[in-house]
Amino acid sequence: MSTRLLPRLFRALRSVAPAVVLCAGCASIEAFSANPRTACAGDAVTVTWAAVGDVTIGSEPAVSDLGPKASAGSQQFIVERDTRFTLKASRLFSCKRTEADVVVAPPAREYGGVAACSSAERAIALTVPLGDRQVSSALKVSSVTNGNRRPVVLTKGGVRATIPAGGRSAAFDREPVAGTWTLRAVLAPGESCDDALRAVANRLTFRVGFGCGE
Amino acid sequence: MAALDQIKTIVVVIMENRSFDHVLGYLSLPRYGGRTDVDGLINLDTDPRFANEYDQQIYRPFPMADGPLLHDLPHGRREIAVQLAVSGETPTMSGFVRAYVDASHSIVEQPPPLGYLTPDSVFMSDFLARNYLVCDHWFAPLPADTHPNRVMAFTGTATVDDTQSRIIPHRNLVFDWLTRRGVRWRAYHCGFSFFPLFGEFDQILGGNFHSMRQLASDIASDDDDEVPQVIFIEPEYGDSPVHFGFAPNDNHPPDPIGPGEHFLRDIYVALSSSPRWAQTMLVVIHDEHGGFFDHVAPLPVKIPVPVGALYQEPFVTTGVRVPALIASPFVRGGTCYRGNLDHTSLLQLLAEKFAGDRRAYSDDVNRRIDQGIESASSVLSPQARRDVPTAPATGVSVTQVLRSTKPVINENQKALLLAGQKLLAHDRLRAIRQFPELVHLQS
Repeated sequence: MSTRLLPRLFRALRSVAPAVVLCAGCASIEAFSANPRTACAGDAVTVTWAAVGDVTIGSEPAVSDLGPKASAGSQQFIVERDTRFTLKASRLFSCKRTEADVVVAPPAREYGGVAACSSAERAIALTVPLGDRQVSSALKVSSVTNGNRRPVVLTKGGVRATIPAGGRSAAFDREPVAGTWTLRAVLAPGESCDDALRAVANRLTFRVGFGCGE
Repeated sequence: MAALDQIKTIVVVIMENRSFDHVLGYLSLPRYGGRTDVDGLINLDTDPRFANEYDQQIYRPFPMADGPLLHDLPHGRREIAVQLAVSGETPTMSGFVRAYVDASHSIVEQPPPLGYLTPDSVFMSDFLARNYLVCDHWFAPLPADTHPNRVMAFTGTATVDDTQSRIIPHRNLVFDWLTRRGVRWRAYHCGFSFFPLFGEFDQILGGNFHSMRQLASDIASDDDDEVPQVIFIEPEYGDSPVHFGFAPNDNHPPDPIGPGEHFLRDIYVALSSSPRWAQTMLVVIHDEHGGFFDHVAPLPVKIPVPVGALYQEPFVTTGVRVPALIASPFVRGGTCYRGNLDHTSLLQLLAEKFAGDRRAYSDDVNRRIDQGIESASSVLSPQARRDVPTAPATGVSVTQVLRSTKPVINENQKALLLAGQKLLAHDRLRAIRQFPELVHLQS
């Protein structure tokens, strides 16, 4: 078909059924990630993608072996500093773009989420599994801070510490950040689960200071 | 005489898709004056109410420079359920990043839903907040996207729960209500209007719809007996199928908010420079939060599914808080109103003003009154002020992105295109006279 006919055909089809015609030529992104999101310099980061259209992987700053890729795939890249990976998917009528950040050895990060309360155990609790999506296996704890408005008992593996509200603990220093962390905040005498959850806005969090290497 | 009796013209501007914390939350930050009367952002690094979780990591609000975003943010009914992150029966407001990542596959250190703007970016909203009145508990009526919330604003009834390419079924359209009571009303539009989506084409083409370009001259030249008692002013919608002389200024992401701030300034200057300002009430709200974070949970407001609705699951809460500003000689400067309001508060206001009873609009609106939604008249002060604050100079550079023509891609764009085509089919000559940009839909 001549290129002169294409725009006329497109206009004609668009006037009849715009949605159907346009979606057939649109790019889309089904998945994109760069893990772990917190890494150490020199770590290999796995970038995974799936898209409809011509795919280009980029980054800022640039790392090696970027460029056009298959529409779905996975590849490792070495990062030395904070890096933003980008995925661009292009097709006839549209171009989609998305981004994934990898941060190298930040001073600290906050982890946590929405907690549950048990009336029987009279405690609010939350389990926070940190795996290779979240953190590099090379990351070590340099400190742990309890930012909650009440004391928490923080447990990871065989290490356990009670940290006052706003307090800091060295009990986990040099432990790997990766692993399963458990937070537990005991209800005050006479306190209901509803009141306790309201007091912490239903959340429990903790802040981990990081170090890389020895 | 009560303040509402002295107001002769009510002006309503409904912008698009921003949350309260995103636009006005900075008002309570110490570095911007630390207003304790405003329920905004404070202690962002430590207050658990501002912690959003995605994949175990906590993200917190951050200052965001105005500019185009990479993506629109998710804000449909299902995505809002993710944002509210209900635990037990409590909306924790902790899922905004999760909803964004689910929709965009973008995982960045500063997720756009948590960005908050500062006075440099929202110079006109900041001016209105400091010189007039902020409503910090004005909610979108429904946890849903554009069409359902605008339908609520203009009818008080939720006939749809999503935005689709269709003419919207409705009853109790505000224009019909006003016309039945002999109230003079007018709608000003920048480009193509939202109202053709209701399918009342003769109403659209009947002389009550004016170009935004006529606003200032109309205000200056209208005789007392032709001044509208109610004015709706519409921005240039980014989703409009064609733009003809106006760039998008509706605040809808991914477009920046700067053009919308200039649009508000134009409106305020036109209104406040008229002697009629002494009897005017300007209400500026946003239709819904657009996917931006807000820390205040929606209100529990249950409404049954109305007859003829195109969905089955009833709504049990309002939507998320939206920025709401009221400027009038009948509000005190630099104040905040904390009462619970939503878009149907405007319909209560009209009923109160023009039928003498805020319950006179409809049973649907009354159902919300019974659940604590107040009339917008609640904000009025009995004493009129005589000062007219001068709008800030336009010293802000607006990030304006020239966009290539893009294909119709979202449901609101498709809906506006459909409405434009139907309006042309209804009366092509009058449609093009009213909305010249529609000529581009001819072929």
